[in-house]
Amino acid sequence: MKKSVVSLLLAGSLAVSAIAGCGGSQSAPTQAETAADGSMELTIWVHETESSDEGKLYARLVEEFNQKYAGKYHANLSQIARSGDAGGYDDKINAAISNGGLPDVFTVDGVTVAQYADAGAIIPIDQYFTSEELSDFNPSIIQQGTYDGKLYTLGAMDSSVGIFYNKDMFQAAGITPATAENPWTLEELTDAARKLTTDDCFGITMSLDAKDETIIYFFLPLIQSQGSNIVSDDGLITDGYMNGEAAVNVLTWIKDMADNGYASATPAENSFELKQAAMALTGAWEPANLAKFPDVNWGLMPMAKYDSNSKAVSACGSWTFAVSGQCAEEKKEGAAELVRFMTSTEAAAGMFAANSMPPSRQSAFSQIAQFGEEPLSVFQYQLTNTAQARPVSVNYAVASNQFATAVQNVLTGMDVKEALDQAVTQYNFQTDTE
Amino acid sequence: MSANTAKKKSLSKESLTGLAFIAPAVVLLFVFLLVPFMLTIGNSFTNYNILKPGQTEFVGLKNFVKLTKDTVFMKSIVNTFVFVIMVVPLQVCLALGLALLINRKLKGISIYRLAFFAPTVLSLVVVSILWSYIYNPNNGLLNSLLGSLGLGPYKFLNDPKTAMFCIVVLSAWQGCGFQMMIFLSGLQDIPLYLYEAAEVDGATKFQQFVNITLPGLSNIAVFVSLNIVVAAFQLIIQPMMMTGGGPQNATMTIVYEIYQTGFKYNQMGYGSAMALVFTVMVLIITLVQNKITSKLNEE
Amino acid sequence: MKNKRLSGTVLMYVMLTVIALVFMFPLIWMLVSSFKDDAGIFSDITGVSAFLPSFKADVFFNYKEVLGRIPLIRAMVNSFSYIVVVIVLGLVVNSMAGYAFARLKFPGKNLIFSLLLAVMVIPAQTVMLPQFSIIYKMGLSNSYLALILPAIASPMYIFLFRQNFLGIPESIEEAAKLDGASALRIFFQLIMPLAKPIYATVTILVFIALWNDFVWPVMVISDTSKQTIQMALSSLFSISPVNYGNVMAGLTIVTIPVLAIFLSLQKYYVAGIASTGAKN
Repeated sequence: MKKSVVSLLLAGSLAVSAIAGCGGSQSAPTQAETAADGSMELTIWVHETESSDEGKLYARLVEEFNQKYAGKYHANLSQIARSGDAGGYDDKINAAISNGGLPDVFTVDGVTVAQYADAGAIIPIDQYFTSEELSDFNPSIIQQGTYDGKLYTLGAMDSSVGIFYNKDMFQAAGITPATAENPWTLEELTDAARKLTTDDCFGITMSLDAKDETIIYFFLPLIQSQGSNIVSDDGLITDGYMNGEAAVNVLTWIKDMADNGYASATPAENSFELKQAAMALTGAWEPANLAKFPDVNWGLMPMAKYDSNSKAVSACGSWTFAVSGQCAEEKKEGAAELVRFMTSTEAAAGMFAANSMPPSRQSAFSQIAQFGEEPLSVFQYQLTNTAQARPVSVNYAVASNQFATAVQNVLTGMDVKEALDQAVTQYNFQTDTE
Repeated sequence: MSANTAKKKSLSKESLTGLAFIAPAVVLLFVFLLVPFMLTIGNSFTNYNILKPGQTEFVGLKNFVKLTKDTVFMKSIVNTFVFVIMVVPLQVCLALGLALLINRKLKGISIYRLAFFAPTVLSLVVVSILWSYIYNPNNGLLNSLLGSLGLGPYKFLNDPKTAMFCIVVLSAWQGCGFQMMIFLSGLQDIPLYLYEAAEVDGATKFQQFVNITLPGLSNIAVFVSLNIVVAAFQLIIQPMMMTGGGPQNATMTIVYEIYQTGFKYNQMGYGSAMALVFTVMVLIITLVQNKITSKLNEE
Repeated sequence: MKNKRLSGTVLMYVMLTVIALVFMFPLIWMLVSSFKDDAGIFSDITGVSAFLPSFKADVFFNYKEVLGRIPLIRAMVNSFSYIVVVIVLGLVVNSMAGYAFARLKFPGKNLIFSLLLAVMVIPAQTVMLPQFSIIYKMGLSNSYLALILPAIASPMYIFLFRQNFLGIPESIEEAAKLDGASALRIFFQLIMPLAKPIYATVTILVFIALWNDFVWPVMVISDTSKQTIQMALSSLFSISPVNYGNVMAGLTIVTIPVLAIFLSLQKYYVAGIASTGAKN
């Protein structure tokens, strides 16, 4: 019986795969439809539903776009749910790339630009924008959206990571915080963390238990600060980078912080907000969270640099808009116009109001009073001067995951060099890199 | 079908009824499960990348050769088996114990039935997030509980030696309510007169359990154990939400690895090869298990 | 003698209550937390106070906020309507197949049953993408049929029905057969009513599985007005920072229908019910 089952399965599979080809084919670009009023129909997918203020903003922007271009373009918006690691939006995009059905414009996470561009799922948009227009965007936004010398995406929002600190605790310990222009070195940060650590309070919380993108987002700047990265400039090679001296230095520092008890390897949720940690290495989403804990008297310092000889580097990057590779030729201009509209100064400034994320362009910064003063001025300074995008690599997902795994392995007892070498081996294996 | 040549003349009425009874299910399963699976088998011999369907090429056995060198995949096979071996007996016993405990006429018993079933009504994602708070080594509930007994602190999910066991406990706790219900419905099928007769014959409660309840549940027990085995082999949500497969790959499971390779790294061809190997493995195990249990039943 | 029995009953209640608490605590935590703000939830998380209520002046503030933020009720109605269709069709389709495998003789029975066991072990994640291709090519994306059709037939439940029907004494059907009743009539008039507990069980299991399903609905449904309950809920998790008080209130709301279904099907689990069917 077993035999017959297996042979039947095999026979069936051969038949089916012969008929269906290997995994479907990319469908031809959709024909341009026109609406009743003669305007060209465009479709757009975003990753936030209207239950969030950010989702509501997208809906409002699309409506305004349709008013402004009435009779010329008409955009139809789909808002798709997303649930972190459990998939959702990304899986849907991938399925549409395989089977057809991609919209004309869709949002992509900044770090996925390279793989979508490489696959032809998104197309270059530089020809639709003047260099004057582009110069208003944060340099790192252009860097994150550029693959193989061409610009593929633009975003309305950006993000940044800094060191949040408890002002009362700093005062009690007699510590002077760093300023935006003069970030601490790791030595100074370690020193402060040591002084601030008590029996029921960690010096700093750094989300060390994270297993996802957070790890690379928080700690890659310390590697870039030493002039290195986790992958080569072409985004392909990790040997000598992810396991290079700079990465070893950073992971050794992380391990020491945890081993000495200055930072928890398994931090409790909201420990900074509950005053169980004096500092928190975290991102631009944090002020909105802190608003729920009104008795924390907090300030913001810039991301630390590696040592006094290295340059200050800070994290950046967020969701962006791209024109899809399945967009019909005659629609491309309209699609690019939609991208322009969704990343306008007004859109970028509106984004801050909706989700408190910093804007992607200078003209929007100047419209928001909060960025002109502390604490948020630190983020504006970083995004204008020190931000460096994460690697634009077709294998980014693998590299990021292996790096996070290495940090986790180090924190659970593995030797630093061994963990990073293993990460490189696994990266090479997963990506078929020789 | 040609095996039954003797009866071939015309299908009997019962045959026709039987085929008609299974037809809707068979058609649906063929279209929505078997065909997709055959496509997966086809994909396993290609370099299919989700993002580049147009560049798909036949690569022969390359993916399967690569599998034999994949240390993480090998580790995930071991982990999955360790999980199955630990969780299945635990969960079957818990489910049966709870079902027996709850299958009695007692005031307010329905409240308790609801309570035992409670963990299953929340999605695994939510339950996993909740348990990672409980397991948190710094300020988790479990360490504060154990601490008041003078034990610990333990690292739970952050120690490669204990991480998988923590997931076993959570999984058995979360899942046994389902199987409790199935045992419970099996218990309803055991005719009451059997117990009444045994009572008259002076059999003890224990004798009744061994001689009436257990044999009466054997058909359902076959299902329950297979159900748990199959579900256990497909472990993914708990490690995905709680450990990311770590620490040091201690909780990386086969299906998680398949998901990550196929959907996160977009290597659908390679992921399909993993899926094929995995399915054949589980298939052999379930067929063997089914043979053994039906043999036992015949005796 | 009477005292002994009484103390035995008390002991039983104590034992049941302790076990019940072990199994109930996530629901208790969820319910209690839905009345706290985030600062309260996380400062309580270390100890027993996590399970003790503390009310704000506006007791239901999380509930008001969450209902204002996401269209929960609409999404619940959406989920509920498609799940009911799946359950009704699924119960008929799967139990008929289960009955055929348990009682009827037909050619290819063993082969098909083995195949059924085989497809049962296929992990959902491995066939998700090809499944999507098929739905897409059938032109079903963004319709409830994409949620309903693949969910109806389930090898797991066919197998469960078969095992359950095997446990019903064959003598019960003999009399009806002698009277010349058709298999269809025996199935619908004799077996179905007799096997109510298993139908109730499968109803509960299917309901919970589909109620909690997330990835597949997201893949096939694009229209916001058609979104299912987990799609609506997920946006509470995806917005950073997550408002846990709101999440707990949302979870509490969506758990109520599941508990209601469970409680309404309770009557089929009364100990000793089988005697009524089998005595004659």
